[in-house]
Amino acid sequence: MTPVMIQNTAAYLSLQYSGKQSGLPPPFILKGPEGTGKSWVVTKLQKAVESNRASGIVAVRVPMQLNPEGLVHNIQQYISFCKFQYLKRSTEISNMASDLKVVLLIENIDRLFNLGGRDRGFVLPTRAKGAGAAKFAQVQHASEFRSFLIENNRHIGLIATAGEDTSFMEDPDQPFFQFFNVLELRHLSEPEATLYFKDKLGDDHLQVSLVEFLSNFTSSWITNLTDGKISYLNLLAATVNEIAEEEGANSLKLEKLIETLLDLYFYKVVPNLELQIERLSYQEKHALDRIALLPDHFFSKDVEDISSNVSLVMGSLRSKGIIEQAVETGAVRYKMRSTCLKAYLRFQKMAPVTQVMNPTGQMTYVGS
Amino acid sequence: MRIVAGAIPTGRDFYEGRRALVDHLKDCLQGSDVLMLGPRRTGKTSVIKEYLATEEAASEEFRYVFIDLESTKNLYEFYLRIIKEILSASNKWAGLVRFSVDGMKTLSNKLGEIFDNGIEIKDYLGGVSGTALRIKFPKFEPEKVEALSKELQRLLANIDRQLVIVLDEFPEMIWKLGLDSEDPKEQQLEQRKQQTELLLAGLRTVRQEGAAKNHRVIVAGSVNLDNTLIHLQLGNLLNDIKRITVPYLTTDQSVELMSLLGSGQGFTYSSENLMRDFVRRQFGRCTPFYIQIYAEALLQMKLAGQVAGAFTEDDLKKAYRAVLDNARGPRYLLDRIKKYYSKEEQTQVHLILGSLAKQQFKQTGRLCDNDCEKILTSVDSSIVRHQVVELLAKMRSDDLIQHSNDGSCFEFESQLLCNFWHYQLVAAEFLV
Repeated sequence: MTPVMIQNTAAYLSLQYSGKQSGLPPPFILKGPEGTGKSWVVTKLQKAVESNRASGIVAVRVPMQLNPEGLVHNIQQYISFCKFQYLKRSTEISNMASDLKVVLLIENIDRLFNLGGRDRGFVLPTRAKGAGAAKFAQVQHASEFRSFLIENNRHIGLIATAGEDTSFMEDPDQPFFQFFNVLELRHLSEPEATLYFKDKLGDDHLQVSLVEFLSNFTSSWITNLTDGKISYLNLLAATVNEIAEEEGANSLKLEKLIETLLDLYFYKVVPNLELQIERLSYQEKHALDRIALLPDHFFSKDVEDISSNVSLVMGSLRSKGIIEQAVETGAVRYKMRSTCLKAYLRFQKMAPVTQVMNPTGQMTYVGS
Repeated sequence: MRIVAGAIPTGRDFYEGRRALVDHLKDCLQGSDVLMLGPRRTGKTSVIKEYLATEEAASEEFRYVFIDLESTKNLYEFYLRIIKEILSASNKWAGLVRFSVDGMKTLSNKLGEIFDNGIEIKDYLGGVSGTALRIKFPKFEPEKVEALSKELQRLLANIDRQLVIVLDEFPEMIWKLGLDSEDPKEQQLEQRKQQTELLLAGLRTVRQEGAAKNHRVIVAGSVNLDNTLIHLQLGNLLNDIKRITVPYLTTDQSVELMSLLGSGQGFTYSSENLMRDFVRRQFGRCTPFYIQIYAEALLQMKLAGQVAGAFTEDDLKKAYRAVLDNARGPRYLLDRIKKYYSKEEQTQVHLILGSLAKQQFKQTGRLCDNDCEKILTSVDSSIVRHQVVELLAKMRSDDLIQHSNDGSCFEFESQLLCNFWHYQLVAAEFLV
């Protein structure tokens, strides 16, 4: 069962493009952190538009590997191609390419137009030197795209997605300031996430046992593990179903199942985490490794808590700023989950644990 | 009616309360070109687009080109875009331009010569509307610009029907003139003045030549255009063009617009007149944009499942708070002040805004020039009168404050802005 907010948003946008209303709707942006269902909504809308050929609207899902330079030209080429494909499949000979309207579907538009930042936006070479000139060029490309949309607003619509940082449309000096209708999606709350997760699992005895066991363990385990992100909830559900299928209901103790579950789940989630951790500085990564050895802080969401204890470990308050930044990236809690939850479980449920140094020089916990 | 919180509402999304402006624009264009001014987000482009759509639907003979100059960075591009859009329009309306194939080739060749026979000119001219220009521009040379202007005049002379040319975001382009050179900043400013002068002179020639064929030009932009031209000492070069000012919505219009937007979304309210009274009290006179994002905030609550049935007063308050906190809402003014005012000026601006908000919020009095001077000198006795006057003029040109109707004092453009500044600078209250 799709969460209410995502369902409603998809239905609302599909209605806008149902062709029952005259004229194209205004440009929309779906804004929200990753894993909140933006791509799902866009796919739903694309299917709704494609299944409603009577509206004469062509859905053009623009490839994500775009560069702001030449954006308009590339998009125009792609529109022509999609119109051609549409007409090939059309049974109505009277349709002409010029009669067709288009809805552009562009994901992660913030990556194209957000300025500055090491990891954000594109820094384009220009004949003038310096970061200022590159930003000027980037704003120019945004201006071109905006002009293109305004001049063609009667036959080209736009649905875009963006992450939390949408400075490109909040800065009054940038072309897209106050340009879009904005619909926001957010992570699921604990009750919403639990409902969604349980619905994904079904009624199998093993799955129910696992969920109940973890619920007894801590009331907010699902948010701690997934942050309410739909993509992670899907991964977690898939993991549970995988274990149930392979291991069977009775062959393993629950504690062992939990451990297997966490291993498998984090294995799936790791590529995402690696990317987040990769962006940290050396110092931040080092701080993470230290924090990961403090299992009691797994359930602590307060930076103060974490940083004050880290300073005990690192012997300095200088680490606080680094920790704050690392916590903000979410990387801390993820890494903590992986190592610390297992350690915590061992503390609580299993035999005494010994701290040893592994071959890479990191301290870790092993069960006796 | 759909919520259009940013783009250009036209057709079924156009607010009929602005129909009189569309008719007024049509009437003015009978006799002259038009300069359409108004503060940001008051609906200038919407009125123009609605005029174009209405006329196109009413008459098969109506011809126009609409050019958004936001991305245009120099005079070469300015003329090339107009030429290109006219040629694109002649694809849409066959026979618009009385050019033979040879005539087209001649035009293309002449333009190519201006740009050292760059092949891209032909591609650009032949491309669809909105095609980006990819040629490498030469350094600015007035002779080349004049040559382009002549080609445009020649093209217009070959159009026998009336053509309406819309140049939107005109001031945005002026701000970019001179910036694409590699020269030092002082020289860039001097170039901006020179190029703006050439632009306005060229525009005047085009308009005068075009008038012979009954062509019309609509130039649109924010009220800052006047200040920009005065700053460049070119204030008199647009004084022969008829002006239309697009005002803020009246209080009644704000209420009506919100009512229409709510009906379009199927909004209901827990009591009759709840929404009307709320908008009347908390928005008053304001730009259509703020009403639109308020409707969007209410929609967001519906989609999130936070409101199942009718909106209560609490819901309206929550949505209002969301508008005040929204980076697209009046919050952007905070960033503007940080960016364009010195540290010292920022403190002074906040003092004035805070004092005005306090008085207007509680309706306890008014703030005039002398009051502002007293407020600032009480904090810094070295401030002199002319500094205060300059600061207030800057704040007015940035739409932070405006003169009251009788011109004697200052006020905020809308109750929304008053509430915002009260919330930001005075106390946590944001609802009168």
